[in-house]
Amino acid sequence: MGFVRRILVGLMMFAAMACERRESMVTQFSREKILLKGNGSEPRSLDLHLIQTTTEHHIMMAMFEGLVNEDAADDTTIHPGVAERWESHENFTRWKFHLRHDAKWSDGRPLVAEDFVKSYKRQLSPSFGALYPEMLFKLRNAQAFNEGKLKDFDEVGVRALDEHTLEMSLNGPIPYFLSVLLHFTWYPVPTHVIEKFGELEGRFSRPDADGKTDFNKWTRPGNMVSNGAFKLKEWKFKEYIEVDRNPYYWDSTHVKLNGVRFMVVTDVATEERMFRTGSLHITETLGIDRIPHYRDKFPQLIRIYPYLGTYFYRINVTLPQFKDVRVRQALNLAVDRESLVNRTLQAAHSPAWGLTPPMKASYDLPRPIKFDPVKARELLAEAGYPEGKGFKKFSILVNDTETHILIAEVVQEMWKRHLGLEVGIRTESSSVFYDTQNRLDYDVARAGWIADFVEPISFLDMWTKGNQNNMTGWENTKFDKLIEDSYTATDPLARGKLMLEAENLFMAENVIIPIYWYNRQILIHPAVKGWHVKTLDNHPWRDLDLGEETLPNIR
Amino acid sequence: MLRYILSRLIQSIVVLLIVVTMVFFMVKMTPGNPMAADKASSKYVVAQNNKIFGFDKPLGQQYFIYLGKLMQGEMGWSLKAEGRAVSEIIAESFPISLRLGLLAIAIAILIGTPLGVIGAVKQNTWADYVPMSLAMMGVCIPTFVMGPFLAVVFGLKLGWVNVAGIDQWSDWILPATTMGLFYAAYFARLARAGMLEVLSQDYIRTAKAKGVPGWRIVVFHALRGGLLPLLSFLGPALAGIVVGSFVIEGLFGIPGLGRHFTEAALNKDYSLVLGTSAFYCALLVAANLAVDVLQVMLNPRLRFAQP
Repeated sequence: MGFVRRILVGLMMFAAMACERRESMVTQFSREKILLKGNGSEPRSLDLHLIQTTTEHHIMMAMFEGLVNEDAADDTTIHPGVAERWESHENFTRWKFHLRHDAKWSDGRPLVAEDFVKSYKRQLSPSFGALYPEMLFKLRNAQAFNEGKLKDFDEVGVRALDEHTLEMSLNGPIPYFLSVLLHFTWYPVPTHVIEKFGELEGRFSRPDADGKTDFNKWTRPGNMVSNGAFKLKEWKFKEYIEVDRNPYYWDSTHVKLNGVRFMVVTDVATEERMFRTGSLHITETLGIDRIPHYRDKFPQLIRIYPYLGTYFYRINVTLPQFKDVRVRQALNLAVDRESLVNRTLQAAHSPAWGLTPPMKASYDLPRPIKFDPVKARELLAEAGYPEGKGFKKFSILVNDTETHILIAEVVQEMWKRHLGLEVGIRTESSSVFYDTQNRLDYDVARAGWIADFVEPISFLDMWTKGNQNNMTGWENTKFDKLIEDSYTATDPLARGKLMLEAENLFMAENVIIPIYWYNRQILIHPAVKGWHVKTLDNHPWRDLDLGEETLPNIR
Repeated sequence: MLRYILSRLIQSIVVLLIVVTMVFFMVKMTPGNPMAADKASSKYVVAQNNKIFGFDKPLGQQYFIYLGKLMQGEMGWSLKAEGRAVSEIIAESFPISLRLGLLAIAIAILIGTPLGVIGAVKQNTWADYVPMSLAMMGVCIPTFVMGPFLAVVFGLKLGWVNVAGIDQWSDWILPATTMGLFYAAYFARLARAGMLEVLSQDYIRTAKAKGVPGWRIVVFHALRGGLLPLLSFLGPALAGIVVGSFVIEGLFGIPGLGRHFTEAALNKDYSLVLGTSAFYCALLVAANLAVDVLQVMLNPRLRFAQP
């Protein structure tokens, strides 16, 4: 019996200990001023040139700093970063940046203009195969160099005039170039560290004594060096990445947090449970089904705010059944976006009435789309398919995520009800789905697009002929010309007019069916200070702070 | 016995080779590609990357290069977690899954076996019906229902344990229990069936006739034979459990092997799919071999049947 008794005593002790609620992680971390941030999936890499998505961008913003900095609250205000001042010449085509003398890498080495040049060279080198070189194509000759047509990097539009002066020559005038520079592709990488661990313009380490090579391991903790407010402290694969203060950061005294821990959380429901038990300060997202609960009971914890992106359906215009613009317009007019967004999606997003989401006052958004089932039926009849008769059955291609399927089901029902069309739904896992869309092997396909910077062009230039993100088979010389002209227009008003015209032209063609404009939905702990709504959802971590506030009981 | 083990080992290598070959060609032939992403890369960027990873070579050549490297113990690099070697990923995540799996098995054996044995001994009484009905439910309730249920009750409402992560020892309780309960249900049913069969044997009747006390019959006469079906289930189950569970690891934020295995297949991370499959296969083969050997040792009848 002694054995049984011992087990019982042990269990009771465990229960007693467990009953005493432990101090939550957020309380402890708030005290230490380390922010706990849910950050979605494991980043693909911590090498600035091998990443593409916002998941990585958010981590990179903590560790690196570009020539200029984001404002904590305002999308259009730009602060000096590594560059303390700048000037543009020749109508915004040549830019000169004066780097601050106290800019340093986290190993104490001074950051100089040549670091930027070498970084851009690495990113554009064909032998390296960076994943997002297109962002740099605004530099003169950058594309030719990246495609391997041009061998001499000296002809690419970036050079160091001296240690602290960087000059960039662009393909055309870009008055909004500073906001482009906020993107992570323009940050510098520590080329001196990369070279220590391997090739600068390749991905591998130097061969060891046995002739074996490994991947360049410069991004590992202990090896990695960066130039931002924080530096890499710990990287637990598929668990979290933690950054701590960079003592060499030029503005270190104004950094409030001691660190940020970016947690890998892939399950939406798990993330919400973690927030409720005090394991996260800010979540990456919030399940649509949980929105009403927080909106009613804890409005102080939920934030729903515009995110510069559009959720839409592509139409494959190379298929004979979608050649007629009236058919495409009918499909567009038969989607009741208000009902879809407000009922199905709990108003988590906003109905989209055009391609470009509302972004700035100067861009007077065309809103050509509305819900008009009567007109939709008429158009379809005019095209030769009264009541949808004789129209070949087609399907909506979506990647196999619950919400995408749900939306497709609603649209399927609307097209059936209002147009009498037989529509199927085809689901594929993401890596197959993107590939299928790329090969134009679809009828109608779900898509989403998030802007890289706050300019309408970020949504428009993808529809030009031959752009890899077009994926509809649609092309139009007039449209291409308008976009081309907008590249050289220096007057913001004139440029805005050109883009407006381009968007009107594009929307009149009904190549896509906009569904909604994205919002972000997150939960945020009351202790978080200095967090503001940003339309690209990029929050400069250096400006955030943590107070002593605690979470209300939401268990 | 030694000859038997040796011949089984050779068989195992052949099986492994066949599996690797099949998986290699299957992952390459399924639609989709590792470069496919939300933002499409231009054709020449894809070409640059294919060249770096050697995907520009003919498939047959790629296969032999891969096989050659595998012989030297090299499994290549993950395509989705850039710069991480497949062997490194397995070495990091397998111990976590192993620990979770062993905990789950311990829970399953501790709960399942006694319930099954009692059910068999007290056949057709409440001590049989109640646990067996629960076990049926346990088999039927999927872990993605049980997991969140336990997390809400013990994590949120009672606040005893964390709902995700593996920072403290108490963080292992929920995932291990979720996984353990599922297998406990299986074990209970297997143990019951095995015991029932043994208890109806002549030698048990003989023991009873000789006046051996009931508990002695169960423990010393019946248990060894009655739990044999459990053992043959345990082999493959063990291999399956210790390589982790995609669902449980995702639910509780555990960086185990199970997630890599499934996510790699979904992401077309060719080298990681291959590496994890080969590893899983080797483990499965080893576990089966171990169980077979163990069974021969436990079951005298099989011993004579061996060549």
